[in-house]
Amino acid sequence: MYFTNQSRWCACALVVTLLTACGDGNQVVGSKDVATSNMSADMNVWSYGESIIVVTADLKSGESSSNTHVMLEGGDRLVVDLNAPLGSAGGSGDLFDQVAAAIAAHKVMDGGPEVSEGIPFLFSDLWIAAPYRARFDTAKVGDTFIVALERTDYNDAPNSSVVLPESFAINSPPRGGSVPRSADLIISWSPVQAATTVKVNSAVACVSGTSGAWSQTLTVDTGTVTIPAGTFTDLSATCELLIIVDRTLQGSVDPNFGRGGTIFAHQSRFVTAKSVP
Amino acid sequence: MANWSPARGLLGRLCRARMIHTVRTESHVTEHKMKLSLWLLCVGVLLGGYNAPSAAADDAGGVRGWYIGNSVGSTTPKAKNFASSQSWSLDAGYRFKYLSLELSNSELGQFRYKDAAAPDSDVRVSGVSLLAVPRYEVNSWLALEALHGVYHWRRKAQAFGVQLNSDKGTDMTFGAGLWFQLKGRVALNLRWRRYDNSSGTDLSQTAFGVRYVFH
Repeated sequence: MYFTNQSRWCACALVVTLLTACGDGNQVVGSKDVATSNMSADMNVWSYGESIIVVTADLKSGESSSNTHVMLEGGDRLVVDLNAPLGSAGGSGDLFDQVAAAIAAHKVMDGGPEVSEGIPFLFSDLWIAAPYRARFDTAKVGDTFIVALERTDYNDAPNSSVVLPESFAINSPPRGGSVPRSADLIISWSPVQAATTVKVNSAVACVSGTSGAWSQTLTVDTGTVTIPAGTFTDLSATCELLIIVDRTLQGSVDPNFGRGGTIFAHQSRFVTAKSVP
Repeated sequence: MANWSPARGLLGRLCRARMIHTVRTESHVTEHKMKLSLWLLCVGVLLGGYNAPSAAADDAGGVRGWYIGNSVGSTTPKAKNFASSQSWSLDAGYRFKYLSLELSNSELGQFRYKDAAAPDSDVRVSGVSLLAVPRYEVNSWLALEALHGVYHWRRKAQAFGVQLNSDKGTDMTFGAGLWFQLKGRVALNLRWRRYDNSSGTDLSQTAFGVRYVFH
């Protein structure tokens, strides 16, 4: 059977995700048994350089570290609004345009696999890890995403929000180029956005089955990071190199989530290259 | 005078079928009014042939006097992604020799956004229009109508069941129609109308109506 380099990476990413998602004894409880004050929420907004933006959420009973996920039921739901809550949407002018704009900027987070259409399969772990998702095709850099938990029997948590950071492109290494492991590898991207956090993940996988990984987090975006020569050892011949650069901005979680949580907005980019001795 | 019996028979069957078939709209109020309007229209058509002929029967196309009626139809918004809607109106007017003046109270429709993921998202438009209707009488039973007037509209918008905005205004309306004079005092008409800029978009309506003339 023939596998392309990218399909090998995708398969690796999927296997790792499945192991992560299935092997830790996760439990699921219905939301009617969990008050908002005993709930935490981990929410993310993802952009991959296209106009597609996906919002994901995972609710848990207890702290974020809990393995007990909350399944919404009985009319409870998560919705996400772009820049303004639905009730204050609209404005002046054409009412038909106002309705269309309100619909484009308001999503119930009940999206299925279809929300991933057009997004690199490399990021498929998102769809497994987060059960609640919605997709926006018209959002842009600087937009504020407001995630609201609406409940029938408990307090709502209507105002968790985050701003989408600036878009960027990876300048080096060039896509598909050859990168010697014996030399420093400079990874650079532009433009920078100083107030953001950037995490760079890199992994090498070889046909022989050997692999290696490296990551670094920059608390201030400098636009460049270096993987030192010799980081990937015990590798032979030419291997596949994957680099993911993830720029994030942290937002604020609604205080009605009594057990806290997180909300981040991401701009993620990746590049693949040949890693040579 | 043309023989309208076959046409009335067909219309009668259509009306009876229509009465059986529930008019499906989102709003129960609108549904009720729509059904009432259909009933009135159908009753008017069915009774049309049984009205006593009047002195003006030989000059039916030129009947003068007060008239009332109602219409049902379909209205299509120019705005993209919004569905057409059923519409209805109650009308009253006076027919002069070459011109009618007509006042209508109309529900132009509840225009739903065409996305299953966006339930209860629509714009609803209703209002009152005052029309001047000059006509050309082709023969004793057929007249061509031109419609021109003003429309005072009210509109409401909602998205996901949440009220967004409401507004009102006055704009032009125009169109054309056909007036078919049946035997007696009842007439049918078929009209196309454009409502300029109502609710921020143009609305096109095709409607079928019945009229009762007090002459």
